[in-house]
Amino acid sequence: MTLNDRLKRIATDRVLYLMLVPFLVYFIVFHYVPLIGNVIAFKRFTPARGIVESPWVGFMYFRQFFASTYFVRVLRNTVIISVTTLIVGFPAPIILALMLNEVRHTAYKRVIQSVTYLPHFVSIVVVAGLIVQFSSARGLFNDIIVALGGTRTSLLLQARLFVPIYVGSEVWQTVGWGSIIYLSALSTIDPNLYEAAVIDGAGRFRQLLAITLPCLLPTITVLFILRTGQLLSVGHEKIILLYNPLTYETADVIMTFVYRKGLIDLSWSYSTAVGLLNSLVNGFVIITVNTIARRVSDNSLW
Amino acid sequence: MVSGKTLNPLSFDVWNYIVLAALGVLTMYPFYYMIVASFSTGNSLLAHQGVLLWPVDPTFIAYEKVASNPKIVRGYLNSIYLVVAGVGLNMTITSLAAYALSRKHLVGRSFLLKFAVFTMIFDRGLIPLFLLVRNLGLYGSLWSVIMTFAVNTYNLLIMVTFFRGVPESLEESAIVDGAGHFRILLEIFIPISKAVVATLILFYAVGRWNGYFYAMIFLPNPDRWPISLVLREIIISEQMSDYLGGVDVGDQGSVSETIKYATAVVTTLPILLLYPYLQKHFTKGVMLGSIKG
Repeated sequence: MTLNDRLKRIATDRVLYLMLVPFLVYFIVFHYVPLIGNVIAFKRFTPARGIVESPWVGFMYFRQFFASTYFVRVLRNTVIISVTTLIVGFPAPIILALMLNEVRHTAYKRVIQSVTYLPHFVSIVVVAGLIVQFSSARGLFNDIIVALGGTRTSLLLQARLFVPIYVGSEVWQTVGWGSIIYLSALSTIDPNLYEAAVIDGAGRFRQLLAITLPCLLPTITVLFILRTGQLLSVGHEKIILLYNPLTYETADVIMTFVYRKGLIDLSWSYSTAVGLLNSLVNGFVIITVNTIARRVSDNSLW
Repeated sequence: MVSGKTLNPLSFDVWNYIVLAALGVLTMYPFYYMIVASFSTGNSLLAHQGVLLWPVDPTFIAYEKVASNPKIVRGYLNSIYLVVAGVGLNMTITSLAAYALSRKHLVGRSFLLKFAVFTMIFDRGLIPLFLLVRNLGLYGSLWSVIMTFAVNTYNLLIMVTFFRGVPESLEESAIVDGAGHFRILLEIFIPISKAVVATLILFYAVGRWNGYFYAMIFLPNPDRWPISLVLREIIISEQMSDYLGGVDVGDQGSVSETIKYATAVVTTLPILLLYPYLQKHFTKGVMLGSIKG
């Protein structure tokens, strides 16, 4: 198409471009402007002076962050929470889907599905609220601990318990929902394969190993790769509801640190620098992982 | 692991059913507990140990306090406003853009899609977003939350994919009839995509209803808080003084315990009521998202 043709095309499609105006305004104003606003990471920003007038300081805030004790702490916590969630939370929906797949009674299967999907729709504040209530010294978890011969303690005040509580509740909330995609993959397996296996004398466990798992493997691979793309983005919105100064040692992650430094301590430039670092690393990981996903299969984010 | 030969199909099935049932109970019990506790008397609830199956010393006091509390009622109204105005804006921008971006011959289509997808890869940054909201004068207004999440790129992509599948013949015959793009979108595309439209409305609405974080940072005035943020104050920060009006000092500890549960129930209620409908459409949405590829 020549330039002239293109211009003609654009002119005839002007109504379509008009329809794109709100979309463009939104993404420019609310995404690209703040992206540029990240320059305050390289400036000593004060609201009084504004972004333009504030003096440049180069990489000072980045160096400050790398030199602080927080750097190691928030990076370590982010990785630990994220990797633990991945190790426990990734296989859980696969196992659930395989178990549901073995259920012959459709009604029973549907009830279990409906029940396990529910937590996905419930507000993080309600979930965190229940965790806070159950973990308190007089709460349900402690009743269970006492029944098992333990002693009562406020569970959310103990740094060593934060990761298990966070990861456990995360798996609880996401396992059912996560199984949907595997169940749909399982439903596409050709029933003839199983019939042939039965004729060959394969038991159900043998069928699982020889047919079900290999058929599920492409889905598992792609979801695993895509999941690693979120390795440094943990659920800071939930952590903010559950942590407290006594558990910062194990609970404070990069984004909770950015939130506290920026919006509570008002260290604008410093927290922007930390946030920018996090966005850049995340973006880089997503691109890498997506490139891999596209190579090994035709499933990818873009 | 059980080996293939010793696996008795009957016993495997039995165990499978039992484990799944246990998982079901484990999933539902916290919500059941929340409901039962909200109808109990606080002091009796605190004294109660172990599994709770029925309200202890049943009472409606917590709900009376919740229904008559101006902060909770206002929170509810704010949340409804957020959902109605927010989802209205979401769907308007998303469907207009999805329609235009689904036209195969549109010059710049692929660039515009990348322009949106880029924002999924590189986060805009919490602090720059906060400063932007303040500079635009949105700080303190519910529109701060509404505007900053006007389009979800993932939802947009789902709709673009769906619109691309609409048969071109339908569009062509409409053009012959002299219909413009706005009319084609409203009278052909939206009605033919009812399922995906419903799915996206629900995706947006549940997110708007449940969200608390951006409301927390953009809305300093409690009069503007959505219900999720009110619940956070009650149950996480345990700031109860505004919620115990008219309760005897001696009973405050007791009542405050059950108000927490009652507010959590009230916050979850719309989700529970819509759940059967939600589940149907959300499941479809997950499939649509995965088909995209």
